Amino acid sequence: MLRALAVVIEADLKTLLRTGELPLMLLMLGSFQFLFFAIGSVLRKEEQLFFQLTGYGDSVLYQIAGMPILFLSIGMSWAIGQFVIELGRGGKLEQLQTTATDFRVVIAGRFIVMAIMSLLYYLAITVPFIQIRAGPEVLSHFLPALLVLMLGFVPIFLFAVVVSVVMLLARTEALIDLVSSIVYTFTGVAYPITVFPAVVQTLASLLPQTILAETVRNIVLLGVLEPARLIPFIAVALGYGVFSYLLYSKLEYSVRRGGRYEVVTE
Amino acid sequence: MRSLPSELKAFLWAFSLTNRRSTWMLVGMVSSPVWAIGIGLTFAIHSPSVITEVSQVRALALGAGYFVASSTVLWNVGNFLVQAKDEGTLHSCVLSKGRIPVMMFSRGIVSAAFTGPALAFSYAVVSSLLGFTPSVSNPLGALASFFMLHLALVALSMIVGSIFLRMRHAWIVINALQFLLPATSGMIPPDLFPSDLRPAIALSPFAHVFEVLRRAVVGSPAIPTGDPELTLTSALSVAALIAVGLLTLSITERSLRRRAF
Amino acid sequence: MSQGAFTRMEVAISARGLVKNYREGGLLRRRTEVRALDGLSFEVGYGKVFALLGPNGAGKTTTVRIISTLLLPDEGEVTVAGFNALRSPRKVRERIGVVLDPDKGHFLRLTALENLTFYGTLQGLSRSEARSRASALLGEMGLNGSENRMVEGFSKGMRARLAICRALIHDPEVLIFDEPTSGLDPISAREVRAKLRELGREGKSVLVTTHNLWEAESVSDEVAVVNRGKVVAAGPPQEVKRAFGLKWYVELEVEGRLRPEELPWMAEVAVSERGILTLKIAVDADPAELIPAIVSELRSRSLTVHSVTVREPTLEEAFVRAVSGAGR
Ligand SMILES: Nc1ncnc2c1ncn2[C@@H]1O[C@H](COP(=O)(O)OP(=O)(O)OP(=O)(O)O)[C@@H](O)[C@H]1O
Ligand SMILES: [Mg+2]
Repeated sequence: MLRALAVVIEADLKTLLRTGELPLMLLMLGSFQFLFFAIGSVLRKEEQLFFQLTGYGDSVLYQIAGMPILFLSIGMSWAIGQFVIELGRGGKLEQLQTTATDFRVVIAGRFIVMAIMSLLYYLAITVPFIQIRAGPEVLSHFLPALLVLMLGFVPIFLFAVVVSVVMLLARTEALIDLVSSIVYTFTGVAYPITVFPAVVQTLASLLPQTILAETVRNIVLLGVLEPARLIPFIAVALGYGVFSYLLYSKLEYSVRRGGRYEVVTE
Repeated sequence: MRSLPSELKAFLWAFSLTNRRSTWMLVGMVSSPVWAIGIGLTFAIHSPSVITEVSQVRALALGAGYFVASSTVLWNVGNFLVQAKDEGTLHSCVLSKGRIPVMMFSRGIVSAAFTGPALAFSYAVVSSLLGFTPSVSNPLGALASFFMLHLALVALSMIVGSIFLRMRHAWIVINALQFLLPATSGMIPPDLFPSDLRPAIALSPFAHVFEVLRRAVVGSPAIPTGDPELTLTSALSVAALIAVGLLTLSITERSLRRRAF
Repeated sequence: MSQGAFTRMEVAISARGLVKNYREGGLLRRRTEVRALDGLSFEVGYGKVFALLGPNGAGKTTTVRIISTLLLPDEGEVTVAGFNALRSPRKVRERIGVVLDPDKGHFLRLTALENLTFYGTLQGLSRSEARSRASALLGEMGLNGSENRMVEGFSKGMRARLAICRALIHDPEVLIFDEPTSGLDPISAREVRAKLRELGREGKSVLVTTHNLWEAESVSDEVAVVNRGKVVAAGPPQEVKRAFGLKWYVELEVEGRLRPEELPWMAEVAVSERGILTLKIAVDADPAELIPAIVSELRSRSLTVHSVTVREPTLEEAFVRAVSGAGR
């Protein structure tokens, strides 16, 4: 089992690096982060008002600390989605079902690769930006933040699996656009979700990115980690675990019944 | 040249059918206003008082709609050459006597049927969400200036489409451009910039074209240029952009024959 | 009309001295040149089915792209249906129908009928003309049940047949097919070959590429064997075989006593268990007239002849010879 996983990870890492798409994707997200940083820095500020709304003093730091959660989530959904779609296109999904290697091992391999990449991204891009703006005193906050972030990869990964399976079942790749827009807009990565009506806020807190963004931001910028925050976080993670497992079983069942999984583009 | 109208008609017909059946377009109708909300609030939050003043909110909502429109045109038109090449339809069209400039221009025209509603819808959703009625001060002018803005975006797509054809990872550039272009030409209300940076925004031809639409919708100017001059410079910019776009594409068509499609 | 003009009209496609180098690499990688065509020439007469035959990378697709106006050669001249393919591409496009990648080139979100109608109107037909021609073609190619289905649901074979319909929509006089049967199942491939022969009978000029020797032999009036960007042999399939000095084999099954050295012209003798001998004789030309003489010679040695089989040389042998002769 572990050997299989190692083989899968090695192969996946090689192909991802060789096609160059993944490093380019990270580069692109990095430049987005730079753009938000640059534009945010020049725009007119109302710090008092912002503090009343959020409890944070600097709107630019607020966004730099939150955006990576969005990017990691989009990156994860993209990577898992692409992977599942490619498997479906080449008929490899059906093939994998008949080999000894469980499809779940292959997906887990992809997850580990993406988690490593995400950590590298966070360390190489986000940490320096925060350092530049917040000064050296936040340095000690990064270790606990990274630990929570790693914990957070699990629900974000499960969320990506749910998205991918729904994409396959609905036979449309375009859903990724809708999911990205929702994650961007309603998870409080760039502004507090308190600007929305109460119903929207409740729905938004069901997305794992919402809790993760707020928790990580709390640690990085304020040095505060309230263990109580981790409880809803773990509850949401478990919820996604069950949900993605059920969806996956449905997918497997449909594949066995001879369904074709060619996702339609255009 | 006698065949130009029938060629246009053929392309318009095919593209309006394919666009209408595209799931990206269908999903885009829902995701566009969602993106617009996110983009609008991202910039507004730096000066939260913006979202309490009516003309500021309208400018913000319209800017968010501009982002949605430019993103859609870049993907739907700018990326089309690459996509058509991959799918082999580029060959088939060319072999059936289709001309690439005509093809891309038709694609651009058809995409207005999506960008128009998407922009309007985004404007309406963002303004209403922030508690203001999404009114338009000069509807006819708004419609006309929307078409001008749309044509400018189509022209840009025709120019960059040729470049994408030669790139291995065009999607990255499109991703960056869909954001950079509107960000530097009015997507973020100029009021949000410090006053010494505002003149820089007015340098982009797209800023002028967008300003025409902004005046028609919001009513208040953001660039200190008189109405007639602004309309004239915008119209000239759009005409020049379209001309450059068509020229680029016909050069591309010829160079494709030399380098292999 | 001068004699020269008249003979030109006899030729549907003429390619003379085509040279094409592809440039690879660029900014980051070292620039290299690949010579795809190296002075390739051939002619296709009106109403003929002509096959370009060659191994992978021989330059068939490059040739087809040049002939069909999609690519400019570095050197050489191409005339198609009386027009210069390099200088008047649109005139040529009006008169040719092309299938490049059989399963590509369709709008996936249009139905088969809509696809054909679209390409027909691009070629200048009116919408209703294009529609009725499209319907007829879809029927001919066995797609009439699927004409209102979107192409995205089509199998590879259906797409290939639709591609042929697309090439025929404006009733062109010259047809160009690049490996039209690649990836098709045997039945679909047979139907496509039948269509090619039918087009030839209808008086269309057809250029088809293939690396399948048997296919070239079965559909074409003339073949050109291409290797490394050059034509290494050309002519009717029979002539190509003769030009390569290929042998016919006569196989006889006989019973009786025989010492091989008695018959020096015998190429091979094999003995089966029950005393049946299989004799193999190699000859340079069609052995039809030789057979009675051979049989009576064997009878005179009191051998019983059970059966006589004549094996024609295949193009396969010609192909292998041409390709190895060119030093691959
Ligand atoms: N776009 C291109 N860029 C660079 N080299 C190319 C390109 N297209 C073809 N080549 C090269 O030109 C040569 C001829 O290729 P071509 O595709 O014409 O061969 P072919 O006979 O059609 O082969 P196949 O049977 O594999 O289809 C090959 O060496 C190939 O690598
Ligand atoms: Mg080929």
